[in-house]
Amino acid sequence: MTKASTHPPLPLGEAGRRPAGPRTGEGWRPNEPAPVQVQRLSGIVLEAADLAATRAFYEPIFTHHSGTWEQSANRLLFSTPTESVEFVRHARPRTYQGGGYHQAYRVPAAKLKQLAQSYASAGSALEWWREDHPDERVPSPYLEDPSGNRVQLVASDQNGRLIDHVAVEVYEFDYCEYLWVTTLGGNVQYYHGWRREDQIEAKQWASGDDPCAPWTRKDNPSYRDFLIVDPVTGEERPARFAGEVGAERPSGPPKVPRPNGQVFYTYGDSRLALISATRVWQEQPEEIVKSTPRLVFDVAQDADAVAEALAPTPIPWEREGNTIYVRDADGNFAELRSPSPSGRGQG
Amino acid sequence: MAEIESIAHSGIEGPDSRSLETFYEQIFGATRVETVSGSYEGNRGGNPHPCGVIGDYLYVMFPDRSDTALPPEDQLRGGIDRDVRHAFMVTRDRFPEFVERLQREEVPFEGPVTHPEKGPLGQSVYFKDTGGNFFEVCWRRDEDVEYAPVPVSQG
Repeated sequence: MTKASTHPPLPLGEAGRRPAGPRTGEGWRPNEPAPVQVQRLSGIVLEAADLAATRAFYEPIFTHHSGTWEQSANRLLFSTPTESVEFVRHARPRTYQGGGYHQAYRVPAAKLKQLAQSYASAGSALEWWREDHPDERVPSPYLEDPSGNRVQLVASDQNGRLIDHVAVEVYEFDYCEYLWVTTLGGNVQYYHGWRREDQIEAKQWASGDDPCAPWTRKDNPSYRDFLIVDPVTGEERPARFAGEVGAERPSGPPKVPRPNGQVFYTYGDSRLALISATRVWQEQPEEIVKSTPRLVFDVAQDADAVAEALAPTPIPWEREGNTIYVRDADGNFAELRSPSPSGRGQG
Repeated sequence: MAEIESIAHSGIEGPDSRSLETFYEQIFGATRVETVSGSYEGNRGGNPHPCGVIGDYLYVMFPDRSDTALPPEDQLRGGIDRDVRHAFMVTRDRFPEFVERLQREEVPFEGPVTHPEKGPLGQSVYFKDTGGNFFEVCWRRDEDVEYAPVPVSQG
């Protein structure tokens, strides 16, 4: 049986404050404007093997939003006046199946259960999980599209936005935050895993009484969890000495629940989550800067100004017209769309 | 002969280890080493305990799982009753600047306390981090004394 967490929502912290870049030694510079003025996370570009099947999957979700579909041989695009979700055809799509990567779309609250159930009835695997962000503590439905992209449905009657949030995985938060926070100005809205409460709460998951999403927890014993106690001296010893001292040998690896680190950032009214990587993902070659899957951000500056802001940073980027493509330190991609056409150049 | 060379690092706990990390950066000008430890990475994700450096002092931060009660809110000075106080030194010239920083960042503190004229310390301020750990920042009256460097291995 699943149930909502009884853990009270934690206060949002540090909004409006940005940590310094990685290893700069310059300390905090609170409230200093970011060099790139991101307005919002406005789109996603994903990979899909079968565009027709993809459209059939997403139509019941996107139908609740005013938008149009465009389809060509290698591209499928759903766009509203302010957002877009694009699928690029790939024979073997990169979808990071089984990890914490996911895209959350808003659907009317009254239709959520029925919609989710319709996918289950059609044979889709349906899971009801909760996450740790204060807005996501009640279980919501998760599906996989035909290519393996993980989709979360979020009940919302604020149907102005299609994309509720997007989550990607990272290994090195500090280096990645140099892009997402220091350069693009994301505000840390909430984080999970660094608090005492988070550690205690993770134990609920081990007892099977917490329907939290799999990427939010980990079974992660440290070396001390494998020690045995000498029955005579009370001394802790490595398990290999169990026979020698007459202690009972552990029957298997202990289950030590811990929270997995997650940080949530806002860009205007949109949200991005960085999840501590749940496994080792093969990165694309480091010289690749424009690729998929990627996030799309609207920026306030023209592309010349964005290029000028990125030039002194170590962030790899390249430009096509008024769009600039960037990549974080762990191989996640994004494009920065400027509002007005400007000259061409290359970073 | 002493075989221990120096303090290598400290482990510091608090209810929110990320909050500790930002406090040390904001107040002490600490340099971040990492927010998530890859060193103790398990098979799923790095451990969310940060690490930082203040000068040459390395520290790691953990969420306190012992449910230890925090010191009373109005207690700003520790290191007296079996609790620990870390003390850092600044130059006499920079001491007022540090006090101003505490005021600007609205960190409650006790002091500056002026120490006896014949002692090694000039003045100190006492305060807590966001996890209730006690700190002192002081300047020393003997800060201009030059000591001959002694290689530790020959000491």
